[in-house]
Amino acid sequence: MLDLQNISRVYELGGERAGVFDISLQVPSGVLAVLAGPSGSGKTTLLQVAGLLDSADSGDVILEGRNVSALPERERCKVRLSRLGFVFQTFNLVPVLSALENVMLPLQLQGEPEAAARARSIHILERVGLGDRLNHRPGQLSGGQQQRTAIARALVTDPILVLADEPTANLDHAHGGPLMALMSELSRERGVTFLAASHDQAVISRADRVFRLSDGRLEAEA
Amino acid sequence: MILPRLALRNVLRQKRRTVLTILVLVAGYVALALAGGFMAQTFQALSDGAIQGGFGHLQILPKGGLEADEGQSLEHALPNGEVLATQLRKDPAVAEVLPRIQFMGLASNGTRSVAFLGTAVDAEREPRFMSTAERIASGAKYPGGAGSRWISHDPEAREAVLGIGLAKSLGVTIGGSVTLMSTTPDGAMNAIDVEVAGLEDLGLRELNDRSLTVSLDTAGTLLNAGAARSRLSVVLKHPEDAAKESVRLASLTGAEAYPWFELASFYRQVKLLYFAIFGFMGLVLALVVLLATANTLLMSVMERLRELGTLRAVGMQPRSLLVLLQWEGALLGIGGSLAGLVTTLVLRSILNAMHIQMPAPPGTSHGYELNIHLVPLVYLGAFLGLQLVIQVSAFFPGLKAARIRITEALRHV
Repeated sequence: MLDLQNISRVYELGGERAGVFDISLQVPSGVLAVLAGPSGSGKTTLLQVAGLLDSADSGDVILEGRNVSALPERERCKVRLSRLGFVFQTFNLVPVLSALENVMLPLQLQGEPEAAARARSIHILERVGLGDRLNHRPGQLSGGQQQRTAIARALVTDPILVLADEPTANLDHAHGGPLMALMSELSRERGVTFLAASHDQAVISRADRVFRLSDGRLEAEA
Repeated sequence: MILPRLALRNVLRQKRRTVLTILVLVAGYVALALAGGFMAQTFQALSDGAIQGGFGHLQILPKGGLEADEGQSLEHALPNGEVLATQLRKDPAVAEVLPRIQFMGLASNGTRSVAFLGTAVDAEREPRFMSTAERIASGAKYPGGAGSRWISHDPEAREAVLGIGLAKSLGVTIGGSVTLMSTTPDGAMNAIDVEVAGLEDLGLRELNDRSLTVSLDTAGTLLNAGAARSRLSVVLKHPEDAAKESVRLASLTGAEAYPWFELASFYRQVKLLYFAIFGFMGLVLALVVLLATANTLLMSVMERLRELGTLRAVGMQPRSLLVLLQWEGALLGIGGSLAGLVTTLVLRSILNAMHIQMPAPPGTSHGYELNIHLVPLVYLGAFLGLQLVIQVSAFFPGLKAARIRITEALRHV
């Protein structure tokens, strides 16, 4: 489903070379996979390249058998909008929009009529347990509720791949555990592939597939 | 509809900054709209003055009569001007034709002679369309002007209305006598005595010092004019057709015809001057508005970098961010213009109610009361002008937003 071939993305950090070096890995469809490793191991960099948020210096990103790494930005936008979903460490909801409007946003960018977008968004928000928080703005939601809203936003367009960067890092254990359980459930229920970057053992323990990175290189795969 | 909604929420997010930006826009709008209303008042007063001061809506002159210098009276004239005037009065587009003779000569009180610029008019028809009554009433306020009146319709009457400066130079008052001397078309000198019926204030000192008005009968006797007339001032039923009717009547009469605004050089000069002054003021205002709005929107972009990065990450195209910023600018502009419109209407009412006396404009002899006109076109123009400036100012922050690197924006705190 996702095939990263010889990905290198190098940048200068404090006078030293950092990033990822010649990484190849395959993520099959419908699994919860985790890029594990300590800070600075290249997890976020690799996730951003895989999510077409950044371009690799070399190597290819193959998504559903299609090489998407060389697409122009306009096409990469379309791929992100229709085939990918994102969950960020700091939730990254639009603060001036309600939970419902945040979830509706990608659908509206796709040009879906407002009524249909609203119905689909309410449905997915109810699924993640936020049916009673539709009109709350992010500032009125707890961290766990914000992250569940972000997951709803990532899933509402029925993507094939959701990329999650440290999804539990800003949550305590009481919220982090249930969130991962929810992601795992959704992965099985909707056949969506989740690729998360995390050093949280609670996240890693729930993964179907774990890729361990160290100093920008793939160290182990399990 | 997501972009306008998002733009509105963003504009309302930083209320204090938005209010400050809108205040700048209000100031710009009010300045443009009030200046436009003031200009409209001035142009209206000047055009009324030119039309009713003698030009009419258009004038018919002999071929080459506009540029020609006359060596002697009626050298360049419409030889059958009075007959032509009678014919033109039957034209369906024409409300009235006012024939005129323009001549020069010397006015004498017996001991002193002063050069004058004379205008002979139809004593009966002229006051119906021209501002003779106002000029006489104004002239009556000056020393020696008490009892000032218009010249008699009686063909046998020999009367004149003198500019206040000319009357002062000659030392004559109402009821006094003046001898007018001029040359006939064949070059002979002639003179007649006229009674001073009134004094007139033409608003321009140079004209007041030289001007003199008599009836066509009086001038006919002095100049042996016959049916010849220097020019015909035409009053139209539809003044807005002056340019079109000038072309038609020139073709119809075989003479030259000019609309009033081509003849009134003072009007054109003042208009150009005002456009230059207020145009410069408008440019400065536009610059202030541009900088204020660009600063607001750029700050807004810099504060929202991570949010904009997120929008791009979930699939928003770069050009949509450009459009988003244009929407934010448009909303600021609409808000500013609406508030500016209300402020303008209130200020206009207050200023007009204060009956402020403006000083005499350059070259004129009396001031006027401030009366800022309400000109919807000016209000629309101010709105469109400001909106254009705002859209331009929103372009650069929009470009900044569209060009952000997603990974850097997502790292932004």
